[in-house]
Amino acid sequence: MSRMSTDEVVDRLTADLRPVKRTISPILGAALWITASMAFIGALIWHHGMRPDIGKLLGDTGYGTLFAACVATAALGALATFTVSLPDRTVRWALLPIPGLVLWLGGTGIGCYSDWVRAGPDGLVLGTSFSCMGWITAVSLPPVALLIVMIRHAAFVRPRLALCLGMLSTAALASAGLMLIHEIDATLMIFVWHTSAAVILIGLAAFGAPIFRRLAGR
Amino acid sequence: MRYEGGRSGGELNWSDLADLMARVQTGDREAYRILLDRLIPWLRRVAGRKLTRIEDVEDTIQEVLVSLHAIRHTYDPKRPFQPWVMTLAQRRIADRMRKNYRVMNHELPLPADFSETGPAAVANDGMTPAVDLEPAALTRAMTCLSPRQRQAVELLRLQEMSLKEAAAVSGRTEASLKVAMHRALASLRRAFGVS
Repeated sequence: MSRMSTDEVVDRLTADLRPVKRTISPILGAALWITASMAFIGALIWHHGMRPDIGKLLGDTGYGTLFAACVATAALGALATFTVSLPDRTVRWALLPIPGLVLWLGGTGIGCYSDWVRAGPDGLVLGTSFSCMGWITAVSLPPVALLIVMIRHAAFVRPRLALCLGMLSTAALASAGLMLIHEIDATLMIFVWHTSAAVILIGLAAFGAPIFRRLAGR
Repeated sequence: MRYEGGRSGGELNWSDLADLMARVQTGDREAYRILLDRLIPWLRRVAGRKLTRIEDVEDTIQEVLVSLHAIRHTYDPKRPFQPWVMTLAQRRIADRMRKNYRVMNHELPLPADFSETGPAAVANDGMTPAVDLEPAALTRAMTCLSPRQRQAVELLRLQEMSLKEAAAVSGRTEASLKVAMHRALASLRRAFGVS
């Protein structure tokens, strides 16, 4: 098999050159993706119907903090995803969702404590809720597919990191959506099943980097 | 052949290159050729600091150029050009180093004089017909190997395991398997009359 010389590669690339449209800024990209994903999840919530006591719950400190944490993680995670997908941005942007995550974990700790204070050890019930994991996984797929299309150039730069951040953002958004419809009041259950789904999805993203590269033509 | 890389020197005018890249995005082929011709020596120096073989350096340069071409739309002319292209170079160098590490663990280098068909090198000169390796001849040759050499051939070549996997399966060290494999190849060369 004959190898091409570097000069031949230059000739081919030069001959193949076409004008391109510059990619949108990370902020705009993240905003567009969040809007589209929220529209999709919102449509599902509208179809299912919100839980009847949602107004009261969001006024509750623990529940409201968790919900805000999910939304913050989703938004900051999306911005981090679009930013690290560009070669000239520092990889430290990946730390951006950390405050949201800290709020999520901290909010869960407060929620679990409140449940324990209110109802003793029975307040920390951990029932199974595979439907939670299934909902988060299924709802995450279309937003993730859209994200892969929007950041496919990341396959040449930081495929694994971009995918993991994107999956974190998606899972957080799906989790926030689920909190609006699913009638589970036990914070520990929400934490375990929602974060389990997020961890599984992020793990899949980490292993999916080779497929991502192939889809992007690398 | 070892590639002797040098310091980057910073001779490039990155502001000029940024302007060229902006023109490349509009489809300016002349600007593209100038840009690539200026980048290639710099890329050789950058890659040469981490990669020792000239083939690896040239392959990596080509991969950087292909990456640059594929995602040229992501460069923002309002931002510096050097970090943009440096990241691409670093990623492709890291990919090459990972690939070399995998190859090193999965394959053993054959001596340069090892002919393709096993029998005498003259069989490969195109003038005489090649001699096929008959399964019976190979089986006979394998029986001349010691049990440890035979095991190394079976695991590393016939079952195509990596050194790590073969070491785990056989309970032997990777160094021991390498030595056995080299000795087995030497025995097989003698068995087929290869000098």
